[in-house]
Amino acid sequence: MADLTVSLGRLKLKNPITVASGTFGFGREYASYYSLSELGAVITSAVTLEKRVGNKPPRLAETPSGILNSIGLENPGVEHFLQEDLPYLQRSGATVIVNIAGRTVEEYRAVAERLSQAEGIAALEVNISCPNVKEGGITFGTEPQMAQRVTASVREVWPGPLIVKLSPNVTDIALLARAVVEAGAEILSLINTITGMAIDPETWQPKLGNIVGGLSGPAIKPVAVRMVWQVAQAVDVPIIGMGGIVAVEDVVEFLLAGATAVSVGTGNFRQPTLARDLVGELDEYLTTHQLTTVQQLIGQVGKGGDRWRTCV
Amino acid sequence: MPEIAKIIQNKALGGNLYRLVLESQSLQKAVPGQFVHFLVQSQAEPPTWDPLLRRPLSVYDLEEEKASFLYRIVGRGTKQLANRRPGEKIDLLGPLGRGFQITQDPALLIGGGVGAAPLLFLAHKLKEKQQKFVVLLGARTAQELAHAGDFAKYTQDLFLVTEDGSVGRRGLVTDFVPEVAAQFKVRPKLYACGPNPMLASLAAFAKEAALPLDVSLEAAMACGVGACFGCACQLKDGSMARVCADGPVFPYEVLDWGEKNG
Repeated sequence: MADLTVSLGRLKLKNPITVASGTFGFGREYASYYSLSELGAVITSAVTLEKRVGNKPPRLAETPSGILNSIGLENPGVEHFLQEDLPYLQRSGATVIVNIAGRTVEEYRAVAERLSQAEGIAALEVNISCPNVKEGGITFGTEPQMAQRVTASVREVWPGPLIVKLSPNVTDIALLARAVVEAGAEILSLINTITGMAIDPETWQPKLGNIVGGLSGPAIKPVAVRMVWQVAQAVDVPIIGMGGIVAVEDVVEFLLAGATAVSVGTGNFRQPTLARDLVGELDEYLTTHQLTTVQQLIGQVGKGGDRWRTCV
Repeated sequence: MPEIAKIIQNKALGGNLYRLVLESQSLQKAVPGQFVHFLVQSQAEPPTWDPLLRRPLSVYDLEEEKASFLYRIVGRGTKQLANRRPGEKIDLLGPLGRGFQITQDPALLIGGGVGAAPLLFLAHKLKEKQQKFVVLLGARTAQELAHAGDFAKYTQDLFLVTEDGSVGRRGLVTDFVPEVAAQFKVRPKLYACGPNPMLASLAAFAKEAALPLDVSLEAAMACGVGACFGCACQLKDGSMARVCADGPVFPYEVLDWGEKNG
């Protein structure tokens, strides 16, 4: 068996396979399929200060090799999470990474502060793909200064490993990556969903109740791999790569692009055992390729150039 | 755990309706109203990831190790499912969700179109329990009532309605519910599945007539197990329920019958 352990700075994982926020609830629904302790980590659905009922239905639209969703961060709020969900996850043996979201910098900070009082959280992942209600609904994650303010504010109250999840809906993701690292992000995760829209040609109505939503699944994988590679060139912090992972080859692709760990998201919906299965399949891949550690894959596709092929 | 089950039959019944029959171990514990989440692609070929998601189908009937499903081709997923042949394997997850709350009351089962699917299994159970029940099925045309014959196996009390009058009475199934419900000596419980406007109309009737009503909802689903909150429907108290895990069957009175479900 190959060595699957990975270190993302202070955050040590038994293997690089995690599950992406918003696709795994708080673990309960998948715990009947396998032990959550088999995963590198469980990244929870977004936790907000207050309970959120989410967006109006319909919230899903299937698109070619992908899905659009507009769930709207439905969650029971941080107090409920601390009373019911975190203890459950801890009993399950999972390494717990809590995804947090907010409508204002103050809300992000308040959730992080409350979570800092709890035991057993391995890291926080800050979802900066939310609209800032105090600044005209501009998404935190698309404006470098706002992204920095959120990151710095959470950094002040959260002493543990801090992950910032980047939005792909920007012109230059490397710019955002550098901005949040400067503000205290220790690890970057990317990509969040790509904003999209689908219209029913019969009813002439948007397919989502929220009109627009986030695209995920294999359809977005090339975009995600490109962004992980770009960010890996731009900053020195470890990366959790995600976007359309459905097979071990996808995991390998993200690692080669520069990710130290990956998240399985939409793929869980298709195959509930996928994330667990990928742990074993990654081990097999390494063995087959005569590698002994995951480390040997990470960032092997560097700046490029060395592999350019000529036509002759 | 997902099960790889063997297909025994996948037969076109007419009117774009198909009956799929499988040999399955895991589905033996299913109850009426529960559903199964299928990967529709061929298991013999490398996965294409398109369509990406599973397709939920209500259990149509269960006889020993044979589970059957009634579906209609409505899009890419069901079209691929129709291509599966007997002898092939199919990846399924289930049974999932919460089924009908079967009470001691005599029962009136109301199915609109392919929404009849979960009602056959219910009729089967009611017959086993020797409870009185009547089935009222509607569709646009006789062709789209190709499943009516399956119900005749469990009951003589079968009323058919078509919009074009090609078989049974002419009209919408909901037009005849008050009349059929009035024929029960003891007040019946209603069990229904079909298009949302039909269910909304039944909810209004059930409220007015003060009859209990369970409805089975249809929704686009991603995970099917309650994790993603994609199939949410609005409840009367303003909160959201997951059709896959909190339903698909709900007592009508908990649902918000405003524009979202109607």
